[in-house]
Amino acid sequence: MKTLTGTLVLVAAVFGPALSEASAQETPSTIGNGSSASVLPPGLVKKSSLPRQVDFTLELANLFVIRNDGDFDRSDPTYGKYGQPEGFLATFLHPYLGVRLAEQLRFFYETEIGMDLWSEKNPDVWLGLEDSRGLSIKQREIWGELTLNNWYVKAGFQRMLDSTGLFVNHWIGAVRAGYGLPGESRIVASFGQFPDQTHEGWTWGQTFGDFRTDVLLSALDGTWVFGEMLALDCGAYYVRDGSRVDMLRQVGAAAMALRARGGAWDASLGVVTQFGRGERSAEGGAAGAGAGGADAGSAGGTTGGQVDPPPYDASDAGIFGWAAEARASGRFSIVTLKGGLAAMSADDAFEGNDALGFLWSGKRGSRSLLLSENETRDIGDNVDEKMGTFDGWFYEMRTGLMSADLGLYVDPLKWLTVGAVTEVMAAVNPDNALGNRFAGWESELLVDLHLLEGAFQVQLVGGMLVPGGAASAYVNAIDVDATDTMFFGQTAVLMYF
Amino acid sequence: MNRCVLLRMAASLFMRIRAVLVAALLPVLLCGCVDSVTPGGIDPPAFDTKLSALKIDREYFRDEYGRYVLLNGVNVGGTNKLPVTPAPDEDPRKEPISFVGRPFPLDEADLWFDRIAKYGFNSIRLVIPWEAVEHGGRGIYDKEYLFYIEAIVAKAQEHDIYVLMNFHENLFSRFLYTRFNRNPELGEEGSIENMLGALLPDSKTLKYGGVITGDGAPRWAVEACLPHKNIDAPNWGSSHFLGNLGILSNLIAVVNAVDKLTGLTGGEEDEGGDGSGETGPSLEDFLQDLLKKMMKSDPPMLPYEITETCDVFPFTSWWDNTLFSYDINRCYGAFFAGDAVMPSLNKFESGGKTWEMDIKEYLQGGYAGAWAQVAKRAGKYPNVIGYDLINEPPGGFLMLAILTLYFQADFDLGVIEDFLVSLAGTETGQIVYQLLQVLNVLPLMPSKADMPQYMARYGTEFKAWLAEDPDVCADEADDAAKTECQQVAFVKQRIRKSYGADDIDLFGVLDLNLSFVVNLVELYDVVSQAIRGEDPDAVIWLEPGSGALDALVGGTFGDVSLWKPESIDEMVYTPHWYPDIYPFLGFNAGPREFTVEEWADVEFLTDLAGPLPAVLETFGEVPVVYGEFGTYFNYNGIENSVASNYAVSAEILNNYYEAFETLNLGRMLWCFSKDNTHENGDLWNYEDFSIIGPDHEPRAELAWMRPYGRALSGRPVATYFNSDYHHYDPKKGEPDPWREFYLSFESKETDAPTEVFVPDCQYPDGFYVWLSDGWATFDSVNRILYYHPTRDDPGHVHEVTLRPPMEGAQRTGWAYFFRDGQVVVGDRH
Repeated sequence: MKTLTGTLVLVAAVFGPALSEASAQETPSTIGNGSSASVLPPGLVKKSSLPRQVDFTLELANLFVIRNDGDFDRSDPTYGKYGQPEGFLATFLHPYLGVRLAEQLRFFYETEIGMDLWSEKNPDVWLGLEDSRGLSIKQREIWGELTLNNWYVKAGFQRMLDSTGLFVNHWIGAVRAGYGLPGESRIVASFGQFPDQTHEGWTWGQTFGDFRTDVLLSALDGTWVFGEMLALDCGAYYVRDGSRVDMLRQVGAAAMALRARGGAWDASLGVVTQFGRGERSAEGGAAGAGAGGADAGSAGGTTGGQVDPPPYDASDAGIFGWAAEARASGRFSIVTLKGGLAAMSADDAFEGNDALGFLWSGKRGSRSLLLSENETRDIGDNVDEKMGTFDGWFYEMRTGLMSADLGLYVDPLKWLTVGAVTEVMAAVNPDNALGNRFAGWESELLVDLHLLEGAFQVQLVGGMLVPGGAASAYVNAIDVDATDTMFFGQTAVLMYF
Repeated sequence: MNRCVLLRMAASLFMRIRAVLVAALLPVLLCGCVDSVTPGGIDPPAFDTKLSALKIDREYFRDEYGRYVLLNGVNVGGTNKLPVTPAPDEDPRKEPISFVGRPFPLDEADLWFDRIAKYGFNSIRLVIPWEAVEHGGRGIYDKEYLFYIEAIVAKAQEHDIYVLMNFHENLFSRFLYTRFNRNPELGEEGSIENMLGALLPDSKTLKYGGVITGDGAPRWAVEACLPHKNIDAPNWGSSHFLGNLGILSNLIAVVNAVDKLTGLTGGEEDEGGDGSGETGPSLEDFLQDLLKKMMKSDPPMLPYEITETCDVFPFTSWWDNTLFSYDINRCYGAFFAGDAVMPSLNKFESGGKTWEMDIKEYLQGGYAGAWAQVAKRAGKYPNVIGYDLINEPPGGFLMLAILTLYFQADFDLGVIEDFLVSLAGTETGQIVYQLLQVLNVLPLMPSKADMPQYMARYGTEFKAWLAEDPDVCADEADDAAKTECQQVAFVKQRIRKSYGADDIDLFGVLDLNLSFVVNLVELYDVVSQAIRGEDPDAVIWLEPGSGALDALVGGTFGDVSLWKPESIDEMVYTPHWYPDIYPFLGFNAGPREFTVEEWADVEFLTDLAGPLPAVLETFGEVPVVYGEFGTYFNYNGIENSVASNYAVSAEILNNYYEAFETLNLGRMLWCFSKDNTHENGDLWNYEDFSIIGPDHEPRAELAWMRPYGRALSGRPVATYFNSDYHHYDPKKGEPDPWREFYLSFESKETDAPTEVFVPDCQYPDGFYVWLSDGWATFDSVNRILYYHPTRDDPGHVHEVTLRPPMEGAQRTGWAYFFRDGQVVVGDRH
C-alpha cells in the first residue's frame, strides 16, 4: 500500500551516527527552503549550493492477525503446545526518506523496522541479532538518481519490476539508465545483482571477487504512453544464475503489459514468457551414442572383449514458461469493482526434464489476503507462494496457477469503505498436486475507516478460505489430504506521518 | 478521448507490435496448458538405468559411472541343492540327473527376477552344485545345464541384477545321505525314544519319508573318496546304526546311554514305550517286531554292512555331520589334501576313462574344470560380479583323525578318550567321547557273546582270509587261543577294510587338521587360475573355513584367517554368519522356540563386525560382503509362526539389517526359493529359510525389504532405517522416527544420480524427502529415487532423509512428497 507524501520533518536519531555527530554549535535549518545553513559537519560532504528538498514519511502499522489454524488440517501434532490457532500482534514502522537536490538529483531511502511482535519484544535485545525477532531492520531501497535532460541514471538497492511484475518484482542492487521519450514514455536499460550467499561463504576473493556464482539481471524495457488513456510497457530480461557450481541457469523473458484507463476505470493486461536453459539440471545418460552394455558407443574403453559404457553425462534442462494477468477496476458512483484473472504455466510431473513451470516473483495483483500476498503486510505465507518451489530468488510454479478474483468496495461515507473480496484459485497440472486441481476459494469482508485524508486508517477484515487438495498438498504438515476451512481475521491500525 | 479514437489507437498499436506479440505468444502456443504426460503423471526417467559393470576400488564396488554400489542380494536358492530329476521324493541315485530348472524354469525367469528386483535386491548369489555341471563323469559337462545357467545370468542382466556365481556344497555331496522317519512311533516329541524312532521306518509301511542329505560333489567324486563303499547297495542311505548284527542290543544300549548322559527320560513311566502312557508292548517288543519285518521285507532292509551305506546322521542340525561323519570327513580330506591323507588312492574310473593321479588332483582338477566351464559362459556378462569358489569349506576332520587313530591304536578306546581330553579339555573331551560312543561312531569289536554269531555270518569270508595268510596268530599257545586270536584279527581287518582305514595316513590327517588353511588357499589358487583362464577379469570371492580346533572348542565358524593366493588379483572377502537359531542336536528335532522379546534387543553388530579388523590386516582394503545370513521361518512350529506373521523371524532379520546398515556392508540373504512348502521348507533338509512362502508372497518383508542407497554419487558415510522392529528410545512430545530412512555420503564424484530403493510396503501412504541439496525424481514403477546432488565442494556431506506421513508428526522443510506416482515439490536448497 502506498503512502501519502506529507509534511517534511527530519528525525535525526533514526538515521545513524553520522548525523548524530552534528556539531552542537550548529542549529538545524528550516528544511526544504534552500537555506544555506547545514546540520552536517563541515567537510563531511561536498555540499552544493543547489536547493535541497527533503521528503519524509512514516508508515506505522499495528496489526492483529488471527487464524483458526496454520494449515488446512485440524490434526493435532504429537506435542501441541501451541494449539491450532495462529496469530500475532505486531507493530511495523516503515520510514521513507527522499532528498531532492535541485531537480536533477534525488536520493531515496526506504526501510522497514519490525516486525515487532509484541510477544517477542525485548528492549534489551541489540539490533541486528539474527535470532532477534523483537526489533530488526530490513533494508528496502537505498538509491540515488540523476536526471539530466531526457537521461536519467538510478543506482542503488531498489525495487525492480518487469513490465508485468510477475517475473521480476524484487528488491535488488541495480544500475538503471533511462532515456525519456516524448510524453511520459521512456526506455530503460538495467543491470543488477540479486542478493545471494553461495555456499562458498563470505570470504573476499571467493564471493566478492567472483561473479561466476552470482545471480545477475540485465534488462531493457520501456514504457510507451499513448495519450492519456493508453500505455504499453514491454521489455526483455535476462537472468544469469550461477549460484550452483557448474550448473549455470540462464533465463530470458519477454514481458508486455497494456494499460488503459478512463475517468472511472482502468485495466491492464500483462503477458510474460520465459525461455532459457539450466545446465546439467536434467536427467542425463551415458555420454555419447548408445547406452551401457556390450553395444556401447565408441567413447568407452574395452575390457576383455567387452566395450566399457561411456561415463554418465548430465543433460541440460530447457526452461519454458509463461504467465498472464489481466486486471480491471471501475468506479460507479460509490461502488468500486476490482477484479482480475491470472494464469501461469505448469510443469509436468517429472523433475528430470525441461522445466515448464513459470518462475515468478510471488506477487500478484489479487486483493485476497491468504491466497495471494497480504497487501497490508507481506507475512510470507500466501498460498500461491507455498505452492511454488522457492529456490532463493524465484518461485517455480510447477502446479501452474489459474485464478480469478473480484473485489467490491462501497464508500457509503467519505471516511468509510466496506467491501468484499473473493478469489478462486486452481492448479493447472493436478499431477503436481497429488491429483487435485482446486486450490481454494477465499472470501472476506472488510471495513476500512480512513480519517485525516487517509493519514489514519483502521482496517477490519474477516473471512474464510475453503481450501482445495491442491493447496493442502503443499500447506498441510500432517495430513496432506485434509481440507479443513481456515477462518481468519485481521485488524490493522495504520498511521501515516 | 472518444471510444473510436481509442480503438484506432489500439489497432495502430497492434499493427506495430504484432511481431513482438507473436514472438511473445509463441511459447504459449507451443507449451500450452500442461497436463499430465503419462497416466500417473510421471515420465519414465531419462537416466539410463541399465546395469553397469562393477569394479573394485579398495573396499568398495564402483560402477562405470563412478558410483559406489552397495550389494543388497539374496541367495537363489535353497532348492538349487537338489536336482529337478530325480525329484526330491525319488531315490537320489536315480538317473538321469538334471539340474536344469533350478532355481526356476527359464520361461518363469522373468517373473521371478521381476519379483527379486521389486523386493529391492540388486544382486543374487546363484547356487550351483558341482554335480549340476559335471555329474556325468570327470570332464563330462552337462551342456544343457551350462546353457541354462548362462541364460539365467542373461535374464538377470535384463532385470538389472548382478550375479555372484557360487559353487555350493554342504556335507560334500548329495550322495551322502540318510533316511529317517519324520513321524516316529516311539515316545513324545523331543524324547530319546522319539529320536530312536526317527531311525526306524514306519512299522506298517516300512517307509521312512524323510532324508538328511548333503549337496555339491557328483557321484563319481564320492566313489573316488569312498572306494570301499557301494553306493548302489539297496540300503544305501539307511542309518548305519541299524545295519550291524546285535542291533537290538545296540538300540537299547543307546537309549540307556543317552538317558544316563542327559537325564532325559521322556516317557519314563511309559512302559509301553510309545508315549501313550498306557501299558502296551514294551520298547523291546516293538523293536523286535519291527526288526523282524525289516529283515523279511523284499528286498531285505536288514542286515547290511557299513559299506552298503554311509555314516551320515539324520541330525536336523545337519552340519553336525561335519563333526561326526567319518565318510564326510574322508571326502573333504580327499578333496583338500588327498595327496597326503590318502596317498595310495591314485587310480580312478570315471566317464569311461581311467585317471591316474593322486586323489586330490583328481577331485580338484574336476572341480576346477567345472568352474572353468561356468566361467567360460558367465564371463561374457558384465552383471557377473565374481565367483564364490566353495561354500563354507569345513576345515574340521575330527572324525577322520579319531577313527584313523583308533584303527592305528588297534581299537583302543582309551587312546581316543585321552586324545579328546588332551584336545578339548577334560569336560568337553569327556562329553564328546561319550557322545561318540552313544552315536556308535566308533566301531566296536563284537562282544565275546556276539562273536559266534558274527563268525557264523562271515565264516566263509574268514576262511578265505585265513587261506591268504595262514601264519596269523601262529605264536599263540594253543589252538583255541589261536582261533580266538585269528577271529579277532579277522574282525579287526574286516572292520578296518569296511572303513577304508588302510587308505588313510594318520600324519596327513593331523597335518590337515592343524593347517587346513594352507590346503584351502591351495584350492583357491587352483580354481581361480582355472576361472581366470576363461574370464581374465574375474573377481574371486573367498570364504573362510573353520578349523577342527575351532569346531571342537566352540569357536565361530570362519575364524581361520586366509591369505590371498598370488593367482588372485581382485578379491572379495565373503563370510557367513548366523546367530544361535539352530535346532538342538538330535534327530527329527523340531524348530526352536523363541519369543519376540528374546530377539528384540539383540545386537548383531559385534559379531558381524568381528572379522573386519582381521580382514583388513590380512588382505588390506578389500570389499567384504556377507554371502549368507538369514533365519528360519518356522520358529515355535510353522502354524504358530504363520499366525504371528513370522514375528520372531522378522526381529532376527531386522537385527541383521540394522547391523549391516551401521557397517555399510554388502550382504546376500539366505534365501529365495520358489518351491518352499510349509511341510518341507526349502526342500533340502527341511530348512525353512525362504523369504517367500508357499504362496510365493514375501514373509516378514517389513524387516528385510528396506530402503537403501544402492548406488551413491559419493563415498558412503552413514545410513540407517528404522523398521517396525526397531526399538525406539521414546522422547516426550516427539513422534518416534518410525520408518525413517537416512543416507549420507561425501562430496559427489560423478554426475550420475544416487539411487535409493524405496519399497512400497514401507511407505504405502507416500513418503517425504529431505535433501541437503540438489533435486530428485522418483520412478514409482521400479521404486527408485534418483537423487541429483548439486553441491560438489570438498567436505560437503550430502544427506537424504525419508519419512512417511504419520499421525501427529509435522512434516516441514521437505523437498518432495511422493505418492501414487505423483509428486509435490517443496523447497529445494
